[in-house]
Amino acid sequence: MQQSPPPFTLAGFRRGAALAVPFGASSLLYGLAFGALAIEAGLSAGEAVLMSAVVFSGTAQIAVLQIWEGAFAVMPIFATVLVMNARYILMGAALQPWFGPLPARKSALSLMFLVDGAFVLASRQRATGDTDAAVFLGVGVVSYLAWVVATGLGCWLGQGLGNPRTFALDFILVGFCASATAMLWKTRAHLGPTLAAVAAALAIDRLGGGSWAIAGAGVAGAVAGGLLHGLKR
Amino acid sequence: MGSSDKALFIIAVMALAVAICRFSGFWLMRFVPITPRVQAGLAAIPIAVMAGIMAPAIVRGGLPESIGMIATIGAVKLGGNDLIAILAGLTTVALLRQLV
Repeated sequence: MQQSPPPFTLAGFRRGAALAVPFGASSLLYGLAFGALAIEAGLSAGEAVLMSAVVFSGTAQIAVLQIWEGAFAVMPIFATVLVMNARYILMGAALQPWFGPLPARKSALSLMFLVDGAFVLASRQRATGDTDAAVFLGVGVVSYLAWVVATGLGCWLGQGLGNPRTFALDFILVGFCASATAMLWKTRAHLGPTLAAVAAALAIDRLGGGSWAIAGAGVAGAVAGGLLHGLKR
Repeated sequence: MGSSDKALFIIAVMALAVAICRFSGFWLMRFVPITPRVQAGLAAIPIAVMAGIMAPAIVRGGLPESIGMIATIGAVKLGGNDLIAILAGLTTVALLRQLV
């Protein structure tokens, strides 16, 4: 069934950009931390900024830094980015009813800026009756610019900072995970997949395949979540 | 030069992986209805991944990291937003590292 496409206007883009501004603060903090940690991990400032510009995924980028040094670990890095961003598969699926009727170039352009903030803020805005699809792009582009600029600033500051461990900057990813888990934890149904994930991560880490730990945890959690679905809750 | 080529290659690989994630769900939904079981599996991934990040870091980091994680979760439960909670965690870990 072909629906008529939603509006896609400059005014909608501006509304989205305005929505994104309050969230610039957290984008900025992660960008600064990523820049400083990237320098510490041995990337050049140019490489760090390039990575932010073409990958645009804070959690995945910080996670990859942990397995950056050492072996030429391409497959673990590919798998890590894949599982860390697997939530975008769900979000993309959820956006199909909204963006599906748009011309392909507009939906593709919008999806390039798919991040948590854009998804959450634009979905919330849409629920208020503002169906302009460019709202999403507005949020995404502002988050993108904040992320790339903050990465550059973080690289610059990081060079004078000394060891980021002194300021516990290396804890930022664990801190992010702790706070996000606390917020996302809604039902006891999370327990099984989480235990499977912890067991997988620790086992892989113990066996020396540390760079696979995150990817393995994601796969173990997904399998457990799928298998446990429909059991008594 | 070699290390820089390696960096560029890895960045390209990361960009490919994240693009697959951004586009595949939207694209697949045109053909495949995502079943409740598949949906449950995908929905379990975010917390699973985060648990997989935290577990080895906590085991390796010991006391400062453990207490920092508890402080972060506590700040969320006390109604703080995530930025404040993470800053509370960072401060806790930084202070404990000075002490230990």
